[in-house]
Amino acid sequence: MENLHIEATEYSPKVIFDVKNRKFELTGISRPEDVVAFFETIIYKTESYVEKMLQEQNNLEGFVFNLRFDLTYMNSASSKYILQILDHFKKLYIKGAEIKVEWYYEDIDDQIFEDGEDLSDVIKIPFKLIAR
Amino acid sequence: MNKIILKHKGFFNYSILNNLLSDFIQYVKTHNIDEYLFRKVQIVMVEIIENNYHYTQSLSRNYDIEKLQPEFKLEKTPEGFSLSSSNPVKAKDAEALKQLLHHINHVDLKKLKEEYKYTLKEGMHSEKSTAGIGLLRIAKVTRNKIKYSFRKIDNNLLYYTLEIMVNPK
Repeated sequence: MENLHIEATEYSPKVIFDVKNRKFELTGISRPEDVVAFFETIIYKTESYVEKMLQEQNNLEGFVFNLRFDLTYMNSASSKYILQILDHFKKLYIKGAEIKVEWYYEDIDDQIFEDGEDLSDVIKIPFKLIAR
Repeated sequence: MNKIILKHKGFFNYSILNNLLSDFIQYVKTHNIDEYLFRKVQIVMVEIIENNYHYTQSLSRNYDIEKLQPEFKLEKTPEGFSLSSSNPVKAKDAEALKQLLHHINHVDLKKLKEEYKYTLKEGMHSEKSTAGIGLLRIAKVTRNKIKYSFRKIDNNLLYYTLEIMVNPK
Protein backbone atom coordinates (compact mmCIF):
# COMPACT_ATOMS: atom_id res chain seq x y z
CA MET A 1 0.00 0.00 0.00
CA GLU A 2 1.34 3.42 -0.96
CA ASN A 3 1.84 6.33 1.40
CA LEU A 4 -0.49 9.30 1.35
CA HIS A 5 0.89 12.81 1.15
CA ILE A 6 -1.28 15.92 0.75
CA GLU A 7 0.32 19.34 0.93
CA ALA A 8 -1.25 22.00 3.13
CA THR A 9 -3.11 24.92 1.64
CA GLU A 10 -4.06 28.15 3.38
CA TYR A 11 -7.17 26.52 4.80
CA SER A 12 -6.54 22.76 4.69
CA PRO A 13 -3.98 20.72 6.61
CA LYS A 14 -0.93 18.82 5.47
CA VAL A 15 -1.57 15.08 5.60
CA ILE A 16 1.08 12.40 5.83
CA PHE A 17 0.22 8.75 6.14
CA ASP A 18 3.47 6.80 6.20
CA VAL A 19 2.17 3.26 5.91
CA LYS A 20 5.50 1.45 6.35
CA ASN A 21 6.41 3.37 9.51
CA ARG A 22 2.79 3.39 10.79
CA LYS A 23 2.69 7.15 11.14
CA PHE A 24 -0.23 9.44 10.45
CA GLU A 25 0.02 13.23 10.68
CA LEU A 26 -2.37 16.13 10.23
CA THR A 27 -0.77 19.57 10.44
CA GLY A 28 -2.00 23.12 9.96
CA ILE A 29 -5.42 24.72 9.58
CA SER A 30 -8.46 22.55 8.99
CA ARG A 31 -11.44 24.30 7.47
CA PRO A 32 -11.37 23.20 3.83
CA GLU A 33 -13.95 24.61 1.44
CA ASP A 34 -15.37 21.18 0.67
CA VAL A 35 -14.73 19.30 3.88
CA VAL A 36 -16.34 16.08 2.59
CA ALA A 37 -14.20 15.96 -0.56
CA PHE A 38 -11.05 16.83 1.37
CA PHE A 39 -11.41 14.08 3.98
CA GLU A 40 -12.89 11.46 1.64
CA THR A 41 -9.50 10.29 0.31
CA ILE A 42 -7.93 10.27 3.76
CA ILE A 43 -10.76 8.28 5.28
CA TYR A 44 -10.81 5.81 2.38
CA LYS A 45 -7.05 5.31 2.72
CA THR A 46 -7.25 4.85 6.49
CA GLU A 47 -10.16 2.43 6.24
CA SER A 48 -8.44 0.34 3.54
CA TYR A 49 -5.22 0.24 5.54
CA VAL A 50 -6.96 -0.80 8.75
CA GLU A 51 -8.99 -3.49 6.97
CA LYS A 52 -5.81 -4.87 5.38
CA MET A 53 -4.02 -4.92 8.74
CA LEU A 54 -6.93 -6.73 10.35
CA GLN A 55 -7.01 -9.33 7.57
CA GLU A 56 -3.27 -9.95 7.68
CA GLN A 57 -2.72 -9.97 11.44
CA ASN A 58 -4.66 -11.99 13.99
CA ASN A 59 -3.00 -10.34 16.91
CA LEU A 60 -1.83 -6.75 16.84
CA GLU A 61 -0.11 -6.75 20.20
CA GLY A 62 3.31 -5.16 19.86
CA PHE A 63 2.26 -3.04 16.88
CA VAL A 64 2.57 0.70 17.52
CA PHE A 65 0.81 3.34 15.44
CA ASN A 66 1.79 6.99 15.85
CA LEU A 67 -0.88 9.58 15.18
CA ARG A 68 0.14 13.21 15.34
CA PHE A 69 -2.31 16.10 15.19
CA ASP A 70 -0.74 19.54 15.10
CA LEU A 71 -3.61 21.84 14.19
CA THR A 72 -3.75 25.58 14.72
CA TYR A 73 -7.40 25.82 13.75
CA MET A 74 -10.15 23.27 13.26
CA ASN A 75 -13.81 23.91 12.43
CA SER A 76 -16.56 21.70 13.81
CA ALA A 77 -17.11 20.11 10.38
CA SER A 78 -13.49 18.86 10.40
CA SER A 79 -13.85 17.34 13.87
CA LYS A 80 -16.46 14.91 12.52
CA TYR A 81 -14.01 13.56 9.92
CA ILE A 82 -11.05 13.49 12.31
CA LEU A 83 -13.23 11.33 14.53
CA GLN A 84 -13.92 8.99 11.59
CA ILE A 85 -10.16 8.62 11.01
CA LEU A 86 -9.62 7.89 14.70
CA ASP A 87 -12.51 5.44 14.65
CA HIS A 88 -10.73 3.37 11.99
CA PHE A 89 -7.52 3.30 14.02
CA LYS A 90 -9.58 2.32 17.04
CA LYS A 91 -10.27 -1.04 15.37
CA LEU A 92 -6.53 -1.75 15.62
CA TYR A 93 -6.51 -0.55 19.24
CA ILE A 94 -9.31 -3.00 20.07
CA LYS A 95 -7.23 -5.79 18.53
CA GLY A 96 -4.31 -5.02 20.85
CA ALA A 97 -2.28 -2.45 18.93
CA GLU A 98 -0.89 0.57 20.72
CA ILE A 99 -2.26 3.80 19.27
CA LYS A 100 -0.13 6.73 20.36
CA VAL A 101 -2.03 9.94 19.72
CA GLU A 102 -0.11 13.17 20.13
CA TRP A 103 -2.30 16.24 20.08
CA TYR A 104 -0.40 19.52 19.92
CA TYR A 105 -1.73 22.87 21.04
CA GLU A 106 -0.33 26.32 21.63
CA ASP A 107 -0.18 27.45 25.25
CA ILE A 108 -2.47 30.34 24.43
CA ASP A 109 -5.02 28.14 22.66
CA ASP A 110 -7.34 26.49 25.14
CA GLN A 111 -9.82 25.71 22.36
CA ILE A 112 -7.48 23.36 20.46
CA PHE A 113 -6.57 21.85 23.85
CA GLU A 114 -10.28 21.31 24.62
CA ASP A 115 -10.85 19.91 21.12
CA GLY A 116 -8.19 17.29 21.90
CA GLU A 117 -9.80 16.43 25.21
CA ASP A 118 -13.24 16.20 23.58
CA LEU A 119 -12.14 13.96 20.71
CA SER A 120 -10.24 11.70 23.11
CA ASP A 121 -13.33 11.38 25.32
CA VAL A 122 -15.60 10.64 22.37
CA ILE A 123 -13.36 8.05 20.73
CA LYS A 124 -12.18 6.53 24.04
CA ILE A 125 -8.50 6.55 23.15
CA PRO A 126 -6.10 8.44 25.42
CA PHE A 127 -4.38 11.45 23.80
CA LYS A 128 -1.07 12.92 24.87
CA LEU A 129 -1.80 16.65 24.94
CA ILE A 130 1.40 18.51 24.19
CA ALA A 131 1.92 22.27 24.51
CA ARG A 132 4.02 23.59 21.63
CA MET B 1 -19.74 52.76 22.41
CA ASN B 2 -20.03 50.03 19.81
CA LYS B 3 -18.04 50.27 16.60
CA ILE B 4 -18.83 48.21 13.50
CA ILE B 5 -15.68 46.39 12.35
CA LEU B 6 -17.12 44.20 9.60
CA LYS B 7 -20.45 44.14 7.85
CA HIS B 8 -21.69 42.04 4.97
CA LYS B 9 -25.13 41.96 3.41
CA GLY B 10 -25.72 39.41 0.68
CA PHE B 11 -25.34 35.70 0.06
CA PHE B 12 -22.20 34.17 1.52
CA ASN B 13 -19.69 31.80 0.02
CA TYR B 14 -16.30 30.47 1.02
CA SER B 15 -14.35 33.39 -0.52
CA ILE B 16 -16.49 35.97 1.26
CA LEU B 17 -15.84 34.21 4.58
CA ASN B 18 -12.09 34.18 3.84
CA ASN B 19 -12.13 37.87 2.90
CA LEU B 20 -14.01 38.80 6.07
CA LEU B 21 -11.52 36.80 8.15
CA SER B 22 -8.59 38.49 6.40
CA ASP B 23 -10.12 41.90 7.15
CA PHE B 24 -10.55 40.90 10.78
CA ILE B 25 -6.93 39.67 11.00
CA GLN B 26 -5.84 43.04 9.63
CA TYR B 27 -7.96 44.81 12.26
CA VAL B 28 -6.47 42.63 15.02
CA LYS B 29 -2.93 43.50 13.91
CA THR B 30 -3.56 47.22 13.75
CA HIS B 31 -5.54 47.44 16.98
CA ASN B 32 -3.39 45.26 19.25
CA ILE B 33 -6.15 42.77 19.93
CA ASP B 34 -5.18 39.98 22.31
CA GLU B 35 -4.36 36.68 20.51
CA TYR B 36 -6.61 34.70 22.85
CA LEU B 37 -9.60 36.93 22.09
CA PHE B 38 -8.84 36.84 18.35
CA ARG B 39 -8.89 33.03 18.34
CA LYS B 40 -12.26 32.89 20.10
CA VAL B 41 -13.79 35.44 17.71
CA GLN B 42 -12.36 33.52 14.75
CA ILE B 43 -14.01 30.27 15.88
CA VAL B 44 -17.39 31.94 16.35
CA MET B 45 -17.15 33.86 13.08
CA VAL B 46 -16.34 30.74 11.04
CA GLU B 47 -19.06 28.65 12.68
CA ILE B 48 -21.83 31.22 12.27
CA ILE B 49 -20.96 32.18 8.69
CA GLU B 50 -20.53 28.52 7.66
CA ASN B 51 -23.89 27.70 9.26
CA ASN B 52 -25.41 30.67 7.47
CA TYR B 53 -24.22 29.82 3.97
CA HIS B 54 -24.65 26.05 4.16
CA TYR B 55 -28.24 26.47 5.31
CA THR B 56 -29.03 29.27 2.85
CA GLN B 57 -27.56 27.30 -0.07
CA SER B 58 -29.81 24.33 0.66
CA LEU B 59 -32.81 26.62 1.16
CA SER B 60 -32.28 28.40 -2.16
CA ARG B 61 -32.85 25.13 -4.06
CA ASN B 62 -36.53 25.10 -3.09
CA TYR B 63 -37.43 28.65 -2.11
CA ASP B 64 -37.17 32.04 -3.75
CA ILE B 65 -35.00 33.87 -1.20
CA GLU B 66 -33.37 36.41 -3.51
CA LYS B 67 -34.89 39.30 -1.55
CA LEU B 68 -34.09 37.81 1.87
CA GLN B 69 -30.40 38.47 1.87
CA PRO B 70 -28.30 37.10 4.73
CA GLU B 71 -26.27 39.47 6.90
CA PHE B 72 -23.22 39.35 9.13
CA LYS B 73 -21.93 42.00 11.47
CA LEU B 74 -18.93 42.16 13.81
CA GLU B 75 -18.85 44.99 16.33
CA LYS B 76 -16.27 46.04 18.88
CA THR B 77 -17.95 46.80 22.18
CA PRO B 78 -16.49 47.91 25.53
CA GLU B 79 -16.88 44.28 26.73
CA GLY B 80 -15.32 42.54 23.71
CA PHE B 81 -16.81 41.68 20.33
CA SER B 82 -20.41 41.19 19.32
CA LEU B 83 -21.18 39.01 16.31
CA SER B 84 -24.52 38.74 14.58
CA SER B 85 -25.74 36.70 11.66
CA SER B 86 -29.11 36.67 9.90
CA ASN B 87 -30.62 34.44 7.26
CA PRO B 88 -34.00 33.14 6.13
CA VAL B 89 -35.15 29.81 7.61
CA LYS B 90 -38.01 27.47 6.84
CA ALA B 91 -40.87 27.81 9.31
CA LYS B 92 -40.70 24.11 10.10
CA ASP B 93 -36.95 24.33 10.87
CA ALA B 94 -37.44 27.46 12.99
CA GLU B 95 -39.31 25.59 15.71
CA ALA B 96 -36.52 23.02 16.17
CA LEU B 97 -33.93 25.79 16.08
CA LYS B 98 -35.79 27.81 18.74
CA GLN B 99 -35.95 24.75 21.00
CA LEU B 100 -32.25 24.03 20.51
CA LEU B 101 -31.25 27.64 21.23
CA HIS B 102 -33.50 27.79 24.29
CA HIS B 103 -31.98 24.54 25.54
CA ILE B 104 -28.38 25.67 24.91
CA ASN B 105 -29.05 28.90 26.83
CA HIS B 106 -30.43 27.03 29.82
CA VAL B 107 -27.79 24.38 30.46
CA ASP B 108 -24.61 24.88 32.47
CA LEU B 109 -21.15 24.61 30.96
CA LYS B 110 -20.59 21.03 32.16
CA LYS B 111 -23.80 19.87 30.50
CA LEU B 112 -23.01 21.90 27.39
CA LYS B 113 -19.65 20.13 27.05
CA GLU B 114 -21.32 16.74 27.52
CA GLU B 115 -23.92 17.55 24.87
CA TYR B 116 -21.24 18.77 22.48
CA LYS B 117 -19.39 15.46 22.81
CA TYR B 118 -22.62 13.47 22.53
CA THR B 119 -23.53 15.35 19.32
CA LEU B 120 -20.04 14.74 17.92
CA LYS B 121 -20.35 11.04 18.67
CA GLU B 122 -23.85 10.73 17.21
CA GLY B 123 -22.90 12.71 14.10
CA MET B 124 -19.64 10.88 13.46
CA HIS B 125 -21.12 8.46 10.92
CA SER B 126 -24.06 10.55 9.80
CA GLU B 127 -24.21 11.46 6.09
CA LYS B 128 -25.76 14.81 6.94
CA SER B 129 -23.99 17.72 8.55
CA THR B 130 -24.18 17.42 12.32
CA ALA B 131 -27.21 19.42 13.38
CA GLY B 132 -26.52 21.91 16.12
CA ILE B 133 -22.82 21.19 16.55
CA GLY B 134 -21.84 24.71 15.45
CA LEU B 135 -24.25 26.34 17.91
CA LEU B 136 -23.06 24.11 20.76
CA ARG B 137 -19.47 25.00 19.93
CA ILE B 138 -20.24 28.73 19.88
CA ALA B 139 -21.88 28.55 23.31
CA LYS B 140 -19.06 26.38 24.68
CA VAL B 141 -16.32 28.69 23.38
CA THR B 142 -17.92 31.99 24.42
CA ARG B 143 -19.60 30.83 27.66
CA ASN B 144 -22.28 33.40 26.78
CA LYS B 145 -25.99 33.16 26.07
CA ILE B 146 -27.03 33.29 22.43
CA LYS B 147 -29.57 36.02 21.65
CA TYR B 148 -31.93 35.16 18.84
CA SER B 149 -35.06 36.36 17.06
CA PHE B 150 -37.34 35.16 14.28
CA ARG B 151 -39.30 37.58 12.07
CA LYS B 152 -42.15 36.16 10.05
CA ILE B 153 -41.82 36.63 6.29
CA ASP B 154 -44.75 34.46 5.15
CA ASN B 155 -46.26 31.08 6.04
CA ASN B 156 -43.16 29.23 4.86
CA LEU B 157 -40.27 31.43 5.85
CA LEU B 158 -38.91 33.42 8.78
CA TYR B 159 -35.87 35.68 9.03
CA TYR B 160 -33.58 34.40 11.79
CA THR B 161 -31.03 36.53 13.64
CA LEU B 162 -28.42 35.22 16.06
CA GLU B 163 -26.25 37.43 18.25
CA ILE B 164 -23.39 36.42 20.52
CA MET B 165 -20.80 38.22 22.60
CA VAL B 166 -17.17 37.15 22.80
CA ASN B 167 -15.34 38.51 25.84
CA PRO B 168 -11.66 38.54 26.75
CA LYS B 169 -10.50 36.03 29.41
